[in-house]
Amino acid sequence: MKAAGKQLLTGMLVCAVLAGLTALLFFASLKIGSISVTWAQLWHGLFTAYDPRVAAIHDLRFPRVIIALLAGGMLSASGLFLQAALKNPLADPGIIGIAGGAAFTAAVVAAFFPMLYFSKPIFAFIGGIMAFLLIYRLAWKGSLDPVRVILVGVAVSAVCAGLSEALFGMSTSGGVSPPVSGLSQRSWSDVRQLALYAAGGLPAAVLLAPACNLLALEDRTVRGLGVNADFLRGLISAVAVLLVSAATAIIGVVGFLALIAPHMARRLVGSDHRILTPCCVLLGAFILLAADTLGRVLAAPAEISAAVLMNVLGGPFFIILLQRGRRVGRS
Amino acid sequence: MAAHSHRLQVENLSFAYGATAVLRGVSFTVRPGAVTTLMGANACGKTTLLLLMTKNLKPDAGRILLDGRDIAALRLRDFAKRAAIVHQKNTAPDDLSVEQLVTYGRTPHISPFHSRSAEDGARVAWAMAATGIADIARQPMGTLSGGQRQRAFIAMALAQDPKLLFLDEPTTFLDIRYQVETLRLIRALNAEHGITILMVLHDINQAAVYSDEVIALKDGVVLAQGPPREVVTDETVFAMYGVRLPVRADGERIWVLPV
Repeated sequence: MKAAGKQLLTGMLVCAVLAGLTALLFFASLKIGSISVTWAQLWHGLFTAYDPRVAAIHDLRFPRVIIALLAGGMLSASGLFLQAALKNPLADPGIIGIAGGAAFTAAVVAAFFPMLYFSKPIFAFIGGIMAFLLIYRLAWKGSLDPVRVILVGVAVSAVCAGLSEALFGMSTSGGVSPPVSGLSQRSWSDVRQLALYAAGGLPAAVLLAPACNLLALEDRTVRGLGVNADFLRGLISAVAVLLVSAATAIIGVVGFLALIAPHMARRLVGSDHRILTPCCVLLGAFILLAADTLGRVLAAPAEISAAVLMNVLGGPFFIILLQRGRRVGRS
Repeated sequence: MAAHSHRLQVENLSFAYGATAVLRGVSFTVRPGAVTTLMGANACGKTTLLLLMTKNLKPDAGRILLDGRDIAALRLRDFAKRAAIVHQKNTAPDDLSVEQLVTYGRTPHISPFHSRSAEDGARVAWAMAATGIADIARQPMGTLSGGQRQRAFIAMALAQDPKLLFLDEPTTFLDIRYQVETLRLIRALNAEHGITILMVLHDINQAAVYSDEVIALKDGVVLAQGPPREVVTDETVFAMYGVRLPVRADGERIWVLPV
């Protein structure tokens, strides 16, 4: 028991350090930007007297930073869970088209049913589930071949992106502007919307962590332990799709984060999902906020979106994983 | 560790993958408290039969009774408290400790939101002791030899506290030393703890030496069942595998020279 206990303890330590770093980054990114204030001004502006510059930070920068943290955590947990459910280390909801499906239905709602704006995440979830089922069905040949999942997923992803583009094209000609995505111009109402799904999805993920551990065994072995592996897989996938859909509905498609964070977290704390899940959530929150802050700083006053930065950094990471996967597959 | 064992009866079992019939009306009873081995050529239905008996597949016709109850009516979880299976192919994360793996064997006994009891801990310790892996309890699975790995998965099955243990070709991926070690371990589990064993083996001689009963399958039907001495004969071996091999008796033991 000592070895397992020690692993868990190391994991908790890593999580504590990550939480500390994320908190530091949170405060730093509140201060960084075109409007600059001192800590004292920020404090007074928030809690004692009205200050127009602090009010601007409160209305613009706070929501953005909080959304980056929430969405980063949700996307990473989603990736981790998809990897566990599909037994596929390359499963990324962005790459395999689940985020694309979610983004498309969210865009449809935004373009044609603007009065449903606040239930956008629910419609995104429907789109995400449809894309997931499509991929599962198309890639299923007695078992799920990891590479087939990626190939089918890339196709589904391309179709969804194309549909979304077509929709924007139609809606601009019709005088409707494409829905804003990304992390800029986010409001407190976006925060509230996202927080609702984070409050449901992230605790569900922590509760399901032991189930992810079981799924690391062969399905037949899991059944032998009296547990319906297919049911577990469905449950874990549903939580993964919910998390990525809600995040995508608010900030659009962000690729690779859901791939990078789980892999880095695994390196840090090992493969026990009980500690891996919180670690992955913290790491994802940190990475997305770091990417967003960096994007604001690098080309100021212009901005590079976090999604673009994630693509630039994540693409090479994905290739490295593919190379390594091939080597492991052969040995 | 009561010596009372469960009684497994297979009645008129048929199964087909699509249009390919694999089993056609198989009936037999596994003798409680004995070591029974299923034998037969490749694709004769051994593994399919094992999957049917462990609720991994549903029969097209016929039924399987555990203590007189159709296992189709048993919940997966309740079945897992009575019978455990060690599959041929096993995977586990490399950094999972042996003890953690064996602890998974308690899954059918633990409700999802309850922590483990002292009994669970004791059972896990017992399973590791019985399989001789107590000293490597803290090692990660990725560092084990083939034989140790196999014993870890057998220990996980034992932690389920089964009265009936199924093993699908438990020696396939092992070299000869670990093959013998594993078979002796299985024999010992039967002798010392009264666990009924039903396994699939490829090697006729190992089946003959380590089994109380042998069931010979051919093209989805039972060719013969009984003690190895009665089943492993020139005729049955030829009928099963389609090749003439000399069967020799050497005191208590019988053996086949597989060349």
